[in-house]
Amino acid sequence: MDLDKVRETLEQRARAGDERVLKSDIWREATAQIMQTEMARRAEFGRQLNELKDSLEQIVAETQSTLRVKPPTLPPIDITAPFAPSTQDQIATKPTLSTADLGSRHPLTEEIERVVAIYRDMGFTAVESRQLDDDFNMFEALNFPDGHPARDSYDSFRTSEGFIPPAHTSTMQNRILLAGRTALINDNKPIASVSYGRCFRNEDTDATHEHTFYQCEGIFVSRDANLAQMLGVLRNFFETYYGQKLRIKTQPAFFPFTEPGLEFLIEKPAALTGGKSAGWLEMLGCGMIHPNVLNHAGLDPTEFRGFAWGGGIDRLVMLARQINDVRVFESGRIKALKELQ
Amino acid sequence: MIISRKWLEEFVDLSGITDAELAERIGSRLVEVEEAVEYNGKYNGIFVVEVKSCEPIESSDHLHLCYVDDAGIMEKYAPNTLIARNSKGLIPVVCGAPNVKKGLLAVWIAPGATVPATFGDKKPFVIGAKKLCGVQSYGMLAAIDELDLGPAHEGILEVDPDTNQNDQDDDASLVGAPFASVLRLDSTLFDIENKSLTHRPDCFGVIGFAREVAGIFGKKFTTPTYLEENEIADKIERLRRIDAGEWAKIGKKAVTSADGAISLDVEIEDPELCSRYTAIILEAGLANKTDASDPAFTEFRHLRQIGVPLMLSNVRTINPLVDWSNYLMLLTGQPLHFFDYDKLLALGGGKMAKITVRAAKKGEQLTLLNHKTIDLDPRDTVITSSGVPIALAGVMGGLGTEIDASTKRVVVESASFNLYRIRETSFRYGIFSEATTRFTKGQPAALAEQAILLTANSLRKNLNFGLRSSLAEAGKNAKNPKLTLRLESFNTLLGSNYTEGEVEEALQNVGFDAGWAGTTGEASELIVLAPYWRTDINIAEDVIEEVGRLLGFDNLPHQLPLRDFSAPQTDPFGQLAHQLRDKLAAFGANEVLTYSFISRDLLEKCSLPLDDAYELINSISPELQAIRTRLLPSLLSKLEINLRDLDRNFTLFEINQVFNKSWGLDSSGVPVERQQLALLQTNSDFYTLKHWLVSLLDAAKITDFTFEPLQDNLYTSHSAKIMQGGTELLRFGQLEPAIVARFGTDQPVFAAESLNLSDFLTKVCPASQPAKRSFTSRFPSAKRYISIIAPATKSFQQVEQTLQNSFSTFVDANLEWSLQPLDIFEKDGQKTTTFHITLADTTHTMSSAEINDIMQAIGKVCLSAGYQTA
Repeated sequence: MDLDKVRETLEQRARAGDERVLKSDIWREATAQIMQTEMARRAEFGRQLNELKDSLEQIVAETQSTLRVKPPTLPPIDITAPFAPSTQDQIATKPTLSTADLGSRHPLTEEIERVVAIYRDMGFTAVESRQLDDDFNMFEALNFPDGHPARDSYDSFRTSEGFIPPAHTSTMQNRILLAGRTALINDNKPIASVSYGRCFRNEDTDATHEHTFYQCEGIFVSRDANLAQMLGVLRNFFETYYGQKLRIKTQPAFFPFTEPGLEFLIEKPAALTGGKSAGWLEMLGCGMIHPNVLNHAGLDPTEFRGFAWGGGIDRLVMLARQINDVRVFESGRIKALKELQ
Repeated sequence: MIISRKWLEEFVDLSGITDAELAERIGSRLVEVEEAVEYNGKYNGIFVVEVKSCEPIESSDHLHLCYVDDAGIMEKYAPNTLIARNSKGLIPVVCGAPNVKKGLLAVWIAPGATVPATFGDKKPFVIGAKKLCGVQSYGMLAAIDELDLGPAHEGILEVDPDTNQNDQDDDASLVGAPFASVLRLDSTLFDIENKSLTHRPDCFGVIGFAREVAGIFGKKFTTPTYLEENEIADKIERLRRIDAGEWAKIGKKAVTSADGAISLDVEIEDPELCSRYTAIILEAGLANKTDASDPAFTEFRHLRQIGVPLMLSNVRTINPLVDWSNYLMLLTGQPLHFFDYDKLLALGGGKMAKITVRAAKKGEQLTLLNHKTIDLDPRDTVITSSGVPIALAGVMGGLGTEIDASTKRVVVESASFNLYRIRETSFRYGIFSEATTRFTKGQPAALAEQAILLTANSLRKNLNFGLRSSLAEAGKNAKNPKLTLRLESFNTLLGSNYTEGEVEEALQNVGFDAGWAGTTGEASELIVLAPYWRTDINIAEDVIEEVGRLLGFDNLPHQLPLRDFSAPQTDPFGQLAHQLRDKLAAFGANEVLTYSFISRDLLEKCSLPLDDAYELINSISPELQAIRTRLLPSLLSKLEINLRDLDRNFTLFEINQVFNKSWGLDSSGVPVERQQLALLQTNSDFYTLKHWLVSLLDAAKITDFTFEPLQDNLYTSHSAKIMQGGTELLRFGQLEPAIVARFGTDQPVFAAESLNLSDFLTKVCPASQPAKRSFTSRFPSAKRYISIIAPATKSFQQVEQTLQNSFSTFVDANLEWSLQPLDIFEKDGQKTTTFHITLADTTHTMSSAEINDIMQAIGKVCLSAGYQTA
């Protein structure tokens, strides 16, 4: 690392008002450099670092005291005006919306909108899932007793107050059931709703694992809901989503909040295989809502039955756009995200 | 969990079912199969042969020339291998093992085959033909280590001639048989995703798994009788009496009581911790009459019976006792623990063994089998000998009572502990084992005594152990509830069309006691009692799932719910966010998503209070420790990378949730959630950004907003907030350079934020109320310009307001008008603002005179407000 370059960058920043230059990554890298410096040059390098440190401290002190006395003065402006005034010396240009560079949507939010729109067309309402919730909604209302081993597989985060950034969108189930309860009981109006949004799991991030991801969850409760209907609804969704007829299959799975619980698979759609037949895709977990979950929402399980499902959005996008590194989604890098469009 | 097909086949007939079909059916009706691993051919070219003759080679001190019979298998297996057989068709093999002799059945690695111990190595050792001491030798006779089946010791592996190598065919000859099939090493292995079986402790035993496999193929499963014994204490007592006679015969003196019994007492202090505890004492050295076998074959038998199943299940073989305890656990799903009785007694300091299951006490310590000493936690359950902790119940035994080579007497423990406590303890000390895997699934209490009788019988038969105690037991077995269901319950929940017979058979196949009572038809009821090994069948739905699964959910028809045609309610915020995102992208902005978790450092960099942020106690890293209180810092943290990535100006934005402790909790007791919009713009200016935001509000159908000065440390004085009806909708402007500098750039950066985006919803013109149109007149409109000259200190808004007010002084209902600012010009402390005025009347075309009157009236109003007009 070129110390002159470091000096130049950091001094410039300090003069611009950054009082934290000695906490910056560049400074840290520079100081770490000393260990890689050969013994003979170490003392000299250390001396130079100290000198730079003193100089930076001085600039920071000076800059900060000037800033405190006199914040950088900007000419006064009329915030109510639609554009800047012209003067004798200068004719102001009027602002326009620049459309020369097309903006871009994030593939995940776009996908959620598409998924939600299909469910809406099928008669489902939609609600965004919370990003910080409590143990009751995340686990207890979903029939996970305290200390149940099934909780382990969710690897959930926890705040010091005991709140949980939810590990699944099912965290909205109890709220959705409560919201639809009266109309269901009094008017026989089925609860049909999807919840979508961000979920979190405590796992190390690599190309295929992200601690932050998106899910979409669906719930249907009526007096005569059954598993065959659930299979019909899900097949219908995926057929609309992929625009083709699809074969489906299931695998038994255990979720405390379903009974029975299943994994739902579809055959790989032609759009993803170039028309070749190529096996199955695990799309989501689903099942009939466990009676205890209905009970938690004040719905009598002998009168009402329901089914629910939930699956990842990231995976849908990755499949559709052939993305092989999930980390691009939360990278915040326009260039990389635009390439996915 | 690894399940070996051949082991399964000991309990269920899978003939005619391919590996693929088996994996597919298990996957669709029991549990996900992660992988079916076919036998890899490690033992190809290795056969059982008979040593027909064995003569020492004169020039060697230990080598023998053997002629072995391969029953001609090499002619079939590898006909092109050149082997100079002798006149009797036997193959010469030189062998240096001390135990090689005529008549021995040995394991022969044929020329061309790989020595299994080197299988998979970079340079596997392939056996050939070579001359040893001048004698031609083909292949080699193998020892256990060369076969990669155990540690090295003297001698080659001796095959038990009584081995029944094909369970159906007693007469099949062992000579020439492939070694892999004799030891059942050639099994396909299924890697089971056990996360999906957390509610099925029974499936963590091979027998339980086999039972399910039978069930999903529609076959009746017969549970081995040793898992359906009753009156177990009596049966153990009978065995003990028989053994007492034997002990007396071989002169082993009575220990505690007259007939040689050792007294053993067990107690459970808190039934909450342990529902069932059973134990017996076994002693080695009882001559075994029932199975007098040649000790030369002990190794082979042990290997074939339990060594190979353990190895295929990825469980290490250690010593015969431990291997048996592991084997019986894999077989039944019941973890067992063996204590050295004499050590247990010594540790307890008493004269007789007294085992108590209790909660650990503060201050107690225990050194575990892994040689680690732990400070026990009062939430741990311990096994004690006369009060002294000797094992961490269900998790790991203590070193002090470890089984070793000198162990003669063992206490066998078979128990059922509180799964939640075991789980807690296992996490506390980071100990995860095959036993904790099973204990944390809550294996049934009734299995404990079944397994202890099986252990007694197995060790008596195979390791010459004899009983020394009666069954010591505490606690009781749980009873499964009797459930009653109608056929309708099945078909309505699943949408199926099952018959009574189908339902009954499916349940009976896997050991349920199920039968229809009453007349066939609607009045008929199915009475169901789940077998003791099922701890997961508690309600009617559990039985329905069971039947649906066994008969295949994939066989269900697909329907769609019948419901009315009412349109779903909209998701107002979702629609708003959708609209804003689309608009901003159309304006040229780029949507990003950033983590909800940020570093405390990021908050500090933005001079935001740290105490407002909720913090994770188990964050992945300090970078992801705090839950963000505001979106803008996240976008700032992406500034530098995008400046580097892109060689042009850009706008970033995100709509997402934030949380802040200072907002408190909502009515349901969870933190108040706010949706925010944040936007960053490089190379912009105040009025450009303002124009974006005004256009955005227009698009969102929000009108009548005003601009007020903003006080926010993140922003410079070139900033404002957009207000409507006392509510702040947006704040925007140029960010403080000192803060921007902390994010790696010294160029001006602009930002806009909605700190509570949901507020937009209350400000949007309702769809039912059409937007106000300026002009409805069918008559032509007239255009005029007006310039208002005001002191430069007057704001645009003040000037515009005066002009607007002027209309109200003379407006008649038929007049329609609009204002469009055209230009602002400042000179010598004066500001000239020019507007374009459009006028129309709904009843007629306006005359010049009328228009002039209006313009004059406007001029007058302005003048009275102190403004010149032109």
